[in-house]
Amino acid sequence: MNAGEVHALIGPNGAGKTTLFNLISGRFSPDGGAVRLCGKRIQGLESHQICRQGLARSFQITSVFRGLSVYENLRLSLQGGHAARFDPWHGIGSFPELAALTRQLIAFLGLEGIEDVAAGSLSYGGLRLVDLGIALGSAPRVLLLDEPLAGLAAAERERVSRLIQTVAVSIPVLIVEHDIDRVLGFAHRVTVMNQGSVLMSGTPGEVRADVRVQAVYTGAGTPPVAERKTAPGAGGAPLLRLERINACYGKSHVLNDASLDVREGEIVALLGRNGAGKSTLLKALAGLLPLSSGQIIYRGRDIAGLPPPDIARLGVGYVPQGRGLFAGMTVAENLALGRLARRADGRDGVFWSERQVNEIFPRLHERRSVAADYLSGGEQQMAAVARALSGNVRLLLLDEPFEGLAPTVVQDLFHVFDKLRGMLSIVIVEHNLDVVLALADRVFALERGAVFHEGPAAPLLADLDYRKRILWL
Amino acid sequence: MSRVDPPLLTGAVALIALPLFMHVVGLTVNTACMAVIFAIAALGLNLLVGFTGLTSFGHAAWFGIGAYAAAIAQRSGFAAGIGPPILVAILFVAVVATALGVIILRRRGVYFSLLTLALSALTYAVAFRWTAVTGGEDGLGGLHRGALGPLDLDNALAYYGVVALIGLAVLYGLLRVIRSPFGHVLVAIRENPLRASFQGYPIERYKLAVFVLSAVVTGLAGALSAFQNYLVSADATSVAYSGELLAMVVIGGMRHLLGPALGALFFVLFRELFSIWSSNWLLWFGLAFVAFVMYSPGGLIEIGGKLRRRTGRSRASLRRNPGKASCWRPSRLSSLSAASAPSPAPTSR
Repeated sequence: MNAGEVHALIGPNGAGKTTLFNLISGRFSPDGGAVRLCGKRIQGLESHQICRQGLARSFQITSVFRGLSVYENLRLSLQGGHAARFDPWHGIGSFPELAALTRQLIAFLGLEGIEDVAAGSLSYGGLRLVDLGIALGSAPRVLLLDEPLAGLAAAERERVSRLIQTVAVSIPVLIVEHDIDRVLGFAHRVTVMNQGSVLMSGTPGEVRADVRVQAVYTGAGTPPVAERKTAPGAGGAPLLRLERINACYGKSHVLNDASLDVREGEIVALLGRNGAGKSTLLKALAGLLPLSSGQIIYRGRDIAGLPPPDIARLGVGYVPQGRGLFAGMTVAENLALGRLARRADGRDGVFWSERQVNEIFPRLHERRSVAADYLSGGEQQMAAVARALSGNVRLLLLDEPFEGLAPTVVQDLFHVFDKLRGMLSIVIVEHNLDVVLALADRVFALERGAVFHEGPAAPLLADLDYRKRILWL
Repeated sequence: MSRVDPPLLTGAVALIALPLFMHVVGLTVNTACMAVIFAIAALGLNLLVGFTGLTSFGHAAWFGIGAYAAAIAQRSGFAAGIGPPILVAILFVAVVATALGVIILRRRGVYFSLLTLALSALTYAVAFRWTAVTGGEDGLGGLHRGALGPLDLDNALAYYGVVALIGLAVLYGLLRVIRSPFGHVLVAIRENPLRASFQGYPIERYKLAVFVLSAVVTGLAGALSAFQNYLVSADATSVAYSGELLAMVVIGGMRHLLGPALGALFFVLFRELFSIWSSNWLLWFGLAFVAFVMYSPGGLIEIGGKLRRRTGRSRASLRRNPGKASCWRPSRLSSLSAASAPSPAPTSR
């Protein structure tokens, strides 16, 4: 990386971008290889030593000193490079140069007037600025920014990205960002990562044109792992309707008037980039995240605001990302817990008995007395699906069910979900577009918490140009 | 500095008024002295709990170690009077706290707390069983205060004066520490240790330093208590006493330097006045503790602040901290821009 350069690091989920940041900045130490900062090897050093060498980073999840004022936050950052940082005797006010620097930094960030506000009570945009300011305060020679634009509205994105460009004139910036349009707009070099290694490096133009990069983001259009066997779920009666729902994580507004509908017996896919609000939408459906407004009409009644156990008993099965198994309990116990608090008679919706689970996932039968955390990723996913279906289910929510799975396992699960079509409705979030488009009947595409496209899945699966037009850049 | 700090002034006035106050409510100067000693111990503990966010469940260990060290130093004839034994106690606590701190601070969060709890239990067991050194069940008695110049320290008021002066000195020192760059880093560690370390602070070193400082202040209080009672017993290191120290900190208010001192006074008054009516005063104290944790985590100091604000010009400061805003909305975008602060921004800058 050279001075005056913005170097963007992009790649799909799980490509290893944040992990790379953690390795560089000393949060984890690498097993091998070398990281050099201005010619000096810094790998294996502790994070505070690396910071002293001139490397600063911001965080994907804003990480500030929430109980302290904006001014104190920034002063603490500047003070880290001050000779008196260990001084236990002289008042902090007796270092005028520190105060002057802090004021300069505040002016640079445009935070004047709110210096004395506690950082925790700032708006999300303000928090991101303070986060950035703390990183700048240590006078870095290289700056790592982890998704500085995530969760910001358009005008704030504009403002923060201009700030980054100003900084980059003097300090090289390595930036991870999912807002690809914007980051390709101001980066000088771009590195694309996929599954832990570098796919390519080049100018934004080259990246935009590169077929492999497009393939990573939109799928190669290669034959999906499996042909679906069942007919598309014909337009059954409506089962679920979301009307203009809004939800926030703290101050980050994640769902923004999102509306969608699901009919009986169909599979609906939610598409969209990272941070678009797909997983959040599933969580809101399962009752895990309170809505700030909007309605969730499920089988004729509004279930928004019901606690998660009640929603589960109404027949909503949820398979969270990362599976959420009870580690330390055996597979059999996990499944039994799935059965315990819900009606399990198959009278209302789909229900798998133990015998059916054994038929559908023979692997689970073999592993039934093994603790869940000793299962392979694929087995865990099977267990999670089986647990969800161990009570009556009318609507199954799947969050990244194929994530990190081997192709054969993906194929098995694909067939299972395919067989469920017509028996219950599925809402699925998945980044593997080739697979999910083959599976789904209809898709809803989200961006910044709102639905911007809805339609049948088939044209997106077959027509790559159409898919790119809708989903790429 | 020509002007006297408000907290320091408050402390000085309180220390002068305390014996009179105790007299009015029918208590002795000795009780006032114990209150000041508890206050010093709680101030030391709060450095760790309130400012650095490290909850120690075993600070009585340092109180007891300080007390035993002073007592043993005096009885062995190694140091005469009260000054030299107290210095020995301070040094001894500092050395032990450094050695143990290196080990205990390797664990974070609840494991740190459990290790401190274990430390207190261990110290108690050693103090109770090792009769040859600590006197075991009988404790170490026969201490004497001696005289300081013309002042006979066996006089309760004279000893109170010494303890009060030491308390004031501790308060002054802690004030300086809290306001120094070092003190601000401690708060940063409490708020976000990860970020502090990524900003170049070797947080383990800061934590060890504050751990030792905190232990030393509490150990100093322990040494003072040894001469106050002319006796050290194993109870001074018990887990129960650790809990009482923590209760003083929480009840007084851990986010304010003077909070724990207020909590110590509350504890002593509660104990002395309630035990007249009920032998189960500890039950009522426990209930009071629960009530504070649930309804006023900021402690007595915060209640005082709230009352003061209710009576007057508080509106502005309330508006400046709108608290937890419900949700970030695009309409609040403008709050990002330089000029529009939540409160009316000064026009000239």
